[in-house]
Amino acid sequence: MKRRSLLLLPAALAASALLASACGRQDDSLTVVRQRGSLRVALDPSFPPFEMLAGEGSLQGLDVELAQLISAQLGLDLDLRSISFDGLYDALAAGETDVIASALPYDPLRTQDVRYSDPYFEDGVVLIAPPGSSGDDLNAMNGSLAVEIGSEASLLTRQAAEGVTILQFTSEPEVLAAVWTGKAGHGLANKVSACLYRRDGTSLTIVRQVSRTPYCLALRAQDASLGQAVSDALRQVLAGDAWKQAKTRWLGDGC
Amino acid sequence: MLRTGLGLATLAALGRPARLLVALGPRQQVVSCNPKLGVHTRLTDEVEEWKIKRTLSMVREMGARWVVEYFPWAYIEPEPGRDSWAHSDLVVEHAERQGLALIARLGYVPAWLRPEQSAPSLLQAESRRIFADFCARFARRYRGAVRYVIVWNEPNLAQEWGFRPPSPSEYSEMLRLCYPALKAEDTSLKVLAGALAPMPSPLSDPLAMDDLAYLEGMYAGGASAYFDALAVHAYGWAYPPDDAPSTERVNFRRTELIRALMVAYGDTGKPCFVTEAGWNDHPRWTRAVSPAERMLYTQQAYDLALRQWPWCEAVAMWAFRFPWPQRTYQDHFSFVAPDFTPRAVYEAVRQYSHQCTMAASLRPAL
Repeated sequence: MKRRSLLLLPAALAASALLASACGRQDDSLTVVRQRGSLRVALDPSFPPFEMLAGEGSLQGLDVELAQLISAQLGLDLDLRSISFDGLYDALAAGETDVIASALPYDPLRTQDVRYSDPYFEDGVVLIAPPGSSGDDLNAMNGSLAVEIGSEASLLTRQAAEGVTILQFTSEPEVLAAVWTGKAGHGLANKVSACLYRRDGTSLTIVRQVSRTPYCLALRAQDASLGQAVSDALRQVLAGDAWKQAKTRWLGDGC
Repeated sequence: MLRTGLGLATLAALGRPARLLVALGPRQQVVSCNPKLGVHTRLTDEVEEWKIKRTLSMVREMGARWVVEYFPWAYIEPEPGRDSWAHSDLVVEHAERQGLALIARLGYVPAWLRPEQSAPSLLQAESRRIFADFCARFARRYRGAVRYVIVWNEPNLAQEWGFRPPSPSEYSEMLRLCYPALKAEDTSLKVLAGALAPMPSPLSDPLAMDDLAYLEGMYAGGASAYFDALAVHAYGWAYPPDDAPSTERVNFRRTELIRALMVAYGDTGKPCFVTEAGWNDHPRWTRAVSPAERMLYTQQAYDLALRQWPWCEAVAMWAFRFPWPQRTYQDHFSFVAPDFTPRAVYEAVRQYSHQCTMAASLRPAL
C-alpha cells in the first residue's frame, strides 16, 4: 500500500501542478503568510461584545480573542486591522487582509469569491421565558408574547397562534425586563442581547432559537492552503478550554 | 438547413420559461407634503424588472420624490468598448414613470482597467480620462431623463480610493476631467461632487481623512469650478436629528458644518443634496437606535431639512430595500424587506408625508 502510494506520488504532483497551471495561479497563500510571520485579521470594532474599542483605543472582544487564539495555534503573530464593515470584503479582495473576523454572517451569494470557515457562533432571534419556564412551542403558547416595535423579532410574531396577546415595547431592554419579571409569558429578542441580559445577573430562560445567523471567518476563495490551515486551527480552538472561557466571559454561561 | 435551424430555434424558444411582461404603466405623480423627501434605492443587483418597478412604486407611495441610485461603471462596460445599458435603462425608465427625480451615482472601476487583486474603487491616474469618457456616455444616453449625477463616492476613505491614502487634490483632478465631459453632453445636467464620509479623524490616519479637512482641500485644489452642487452624507448614528453639530462627532446636523465651509469658500449659490442619511435599528450595533427612535428621528430629519435648510434640495435616506438579505446590521437601515414587506419606518414616513406632522411620541400607531 505504501509502495503504491509512493509510485503514485509523481503522478499526483504532476496533476496538481497541471491543475494549478490550468487555474492560472499557484496557491502560495500559506507560504506567504508564514514568510511574513503574521496573520492579518480585519474587523470593524463597532459591534460589542464581538469587537469594540477599549477606553485607551485598543481592540477587544470575542472575535479579537478568537483571532489571537487562531494566530497562536498557527504559530503566527497577529496583525489586527480596523476597517469599516462596508469595506471588509473589498479589503479582502484587494489583499489588505488575510482573514475577516468581524461577526460576519455566512453569505451564500459570495462563495465564488469568499471562502467561509465553519460557523463559530450562531446569532439570531430567540424565544425567551421567565426564570424556570420551559414552554417551547410558540404556537401552543397560551398567554402573552413581548416584542420590540419594528424589530426583526416583531415580524416573527405572525407565526404566533390565535389567542396569543402581542405586547409591544419601544426598546429591547423593556422586552427583556417584561419577561424576566413575568409581566409577559414569553418574548422574542436578539440572542446576544438575551445572553448579555442573563450574564448581567438575571436568570432569564432562553427556550430556543427561532432564527439563525451563523458567524464565520472569511478568506479569499483562491487562498486554499491558508483557508485549510485557518479552518484546522479554528476547529482546534473551538474544542479548547481557552475559547470556552472567552465565550463565557463575553456572553455568559450557556451561550 | 435554414428551415431546420429555424425549427430548432422555435422549439428552444418554446422550451424557455415565458418572460414576465412588465408594463411601464401610466405616468405617476408623487403626492407628498415634503418635496425634499427621498431615499437611496439599491437596484444595482436587482435582476427582475417587476421588482424594480415594485420598488420604485413603493418609493412613490411612501411620498418620496427623490431617489439616488448607483450605476456601477463595471456593470455597464464589462469589457472595453462594449456598453450594456439594459439594466440601467430599466431603472431610469421606471423611475421616470413613477414620477421620481433620479440622482445617479457613478463609480466602480471595471476589472479590465485595474491591476489584478485590486479594489473596484481603484482608479489610477492614467485611467481618469477613461472614466470621464464613460461619464460622458452616461450623460448622452440619459439626457433629459437623468438630471443629476454624482461623481464617485466618499473619496475621503481609503476603501473608496483603492486603499490608497485619500487625496483631495487627486479627487479634484477627477472632477476637473469629468465635469466638462458631462456638461458637454447635457448643459442642464447638475453635476454633484461626491459625498464625503462623515469622519472626524486625525489627519494622520492613512485610512480616512476628516471630511471637513478634505472639503477644504478640494477648495484649495480648485474643485469649486467643477461641480454644481455638493452631495452630503448625513448619518445620525445614535443621536437625534436636532443634536447640535460638532466637528468631533457624526450626527445629522454635521451637514451644517459642510454647508458653512461652502459658504466660507463662496459657494453660497450651490445647493446641497443629502444622498445618504438615516438611522440604523440593529439591536446591538454601537451606532444604532431602537426601531421606535428610528421612526421618530427619520420623520424629524425630513422635517428639519424642509423647514430649516433652504440650501438643501433633497434628503435621501439609506437604504430603501436590498435585493436580498445582507445578513448584517446593514439590513437594519432598510425601509422595506427584500420580499417587499414594509418595515415600521416605512409606514411612519408614509404617514408623515401626508401632512408633515410627526408622531407625538416614540409609540406611533402601527
